[in-house]
Amino acid sequence: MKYILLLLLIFSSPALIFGQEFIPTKKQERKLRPKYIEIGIGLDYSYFCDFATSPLIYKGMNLQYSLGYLSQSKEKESFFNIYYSSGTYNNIENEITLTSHTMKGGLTYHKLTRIKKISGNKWNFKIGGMINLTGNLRNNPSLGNAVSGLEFVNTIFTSLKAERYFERKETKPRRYCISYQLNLPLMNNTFRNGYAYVPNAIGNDPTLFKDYKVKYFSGCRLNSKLEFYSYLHNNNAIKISYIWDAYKTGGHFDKFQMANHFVQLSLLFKLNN
Amino acid sequence: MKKKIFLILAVSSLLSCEKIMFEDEINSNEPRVIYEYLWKQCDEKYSFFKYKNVNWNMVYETYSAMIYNEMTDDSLFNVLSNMLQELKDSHIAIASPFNVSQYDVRLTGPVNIDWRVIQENYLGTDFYITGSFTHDFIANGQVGYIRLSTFPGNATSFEMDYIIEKYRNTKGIIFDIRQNEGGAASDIFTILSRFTDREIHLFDSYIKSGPGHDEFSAPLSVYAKPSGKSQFIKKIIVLADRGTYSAGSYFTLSAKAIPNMVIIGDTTGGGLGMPNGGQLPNGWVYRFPVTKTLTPDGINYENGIPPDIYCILKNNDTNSGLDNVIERALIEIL
Repeated sequence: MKYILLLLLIFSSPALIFGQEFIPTKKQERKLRPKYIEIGIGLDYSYFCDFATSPLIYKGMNLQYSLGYLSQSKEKESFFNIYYSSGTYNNIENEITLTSHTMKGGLTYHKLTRIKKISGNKWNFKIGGMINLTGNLRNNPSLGNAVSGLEFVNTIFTSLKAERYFERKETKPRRYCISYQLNLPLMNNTFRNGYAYVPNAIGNDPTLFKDYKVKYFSGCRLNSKLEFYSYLHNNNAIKISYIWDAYKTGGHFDKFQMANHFVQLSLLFKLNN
Repeated sequence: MKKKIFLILAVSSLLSCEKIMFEDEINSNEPRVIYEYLWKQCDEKYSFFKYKNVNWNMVYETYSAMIYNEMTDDSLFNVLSNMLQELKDSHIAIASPFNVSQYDVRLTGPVNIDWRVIQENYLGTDFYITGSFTHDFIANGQVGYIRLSTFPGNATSFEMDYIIEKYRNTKGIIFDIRQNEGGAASDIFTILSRFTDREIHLFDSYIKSGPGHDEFSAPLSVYAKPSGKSQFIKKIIVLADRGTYSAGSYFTLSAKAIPNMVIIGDTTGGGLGMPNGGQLPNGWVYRFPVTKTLTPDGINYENGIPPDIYCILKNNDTNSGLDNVIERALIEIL
């Protein structure tokens, strides 16, 4: 009898094994997590004020391009992105139009983890960090030797994200997600023109970045993203984003401040199945 | 429900958050606001208050009394322009859509060159034009004469090698920068690299580093370094006058440091501070110097570099077809 029981146990063990829930290892989870290449284009409406050269605001709207790599699940998410925009920013006062030809670019990287305590089936919350490196090169020929302004702003953020997944039940069900990510600064560093703004460039040695100043824990920056994902039947996705990024440099004199509003359409091409 | 409320509040609060973060722009047509802004920018960044012995606070009081709310743009422009002209600096300017102000240092001395006289009586009609340099042999081929009327920033090694080779066997060169109002400083070093066979400390440049009138950076030492196929280290006479300004003055200042170079003519116009550029609250633009330049011995020649040999063009001579400044240079060489 005991042998019959033993045999039953042996034959049923695969059922026991197969009937158990599959808990992937971290490595397996990372491998299974959906990964996308993201290509985006959008409109960048920005305005800035460089108090070192002008007390007036320059505004412009230009195209912005971005390329990214997204690894995203409800549990974990990492995103690397580079972006670029160039065009003109104008100030119009009393029949005078001054134009700044500006190139902007940067890269962002964020990594988020699910907050299990407050996440559920419908609402998913994540926490993590983001780093954003941004550079602007501005040329305003009307400002004489102060024609060029260059600033690098890099910020380490803590990030909070809320996601709401929902499905449209039809003959062909569609999945959607709307998310909001808020990035709060932990450390903001700047590199930009020195006090006199123009370089002490009368010499015969290279003058690139001459007299520029680095400042750590200086200035302020806030960043947020509102995103809508539509997942397609072929596992790719379309994303519409509104990204807000505002920063200013610190110090006592001649601050630089810029606010950027990006509306972007991105195509996400899934890399794994 | 709580989560939804939190999210709505978070999103809506950030829509106007940048305005809380940012400083307000100073956008104004009010004369008082514009006057105060320009005076303060100068006060914090102009580099020659002490050297020129200008009491900028007293200037404020004087011109502030001329500001009133109902004044026209024309009147405001004149007040701002007159205020800046207290500094007597040709690197200072203010530009509006209807006028540009400038202090013309050339008017403080005689025009020390008559190009027609030089063309007709020294160069003839077959002179050479190499880039921005006009040149030829004079004094029966014993001396090379080179005229540079501006520093455009495009002098090349090829041009300098050609010129040096051409006048290699002369007894000296006359380098004429009278009424040369300046331009790009880069040309200075391209030229000087052929006029010295060793590294020479020319001058030190200081840039404003803070709002105090005496706040400057550590000096940037500037050197002439030999380069190119060959150097001309026989006598070089630099002709200068009050119209020799900015890069022209920097070149003249450099000549003071180079042993085989002699300056003949009039004191230069100065302009040894590099101007910045900026915009006023009503959109007008301005500029003024934010650097100062000292010799290696610490002398400030902002009001002009005095010549080694003082010589002013005489009308009697020019009427007779003589440029007595060139003639004095020829005496020095020959």
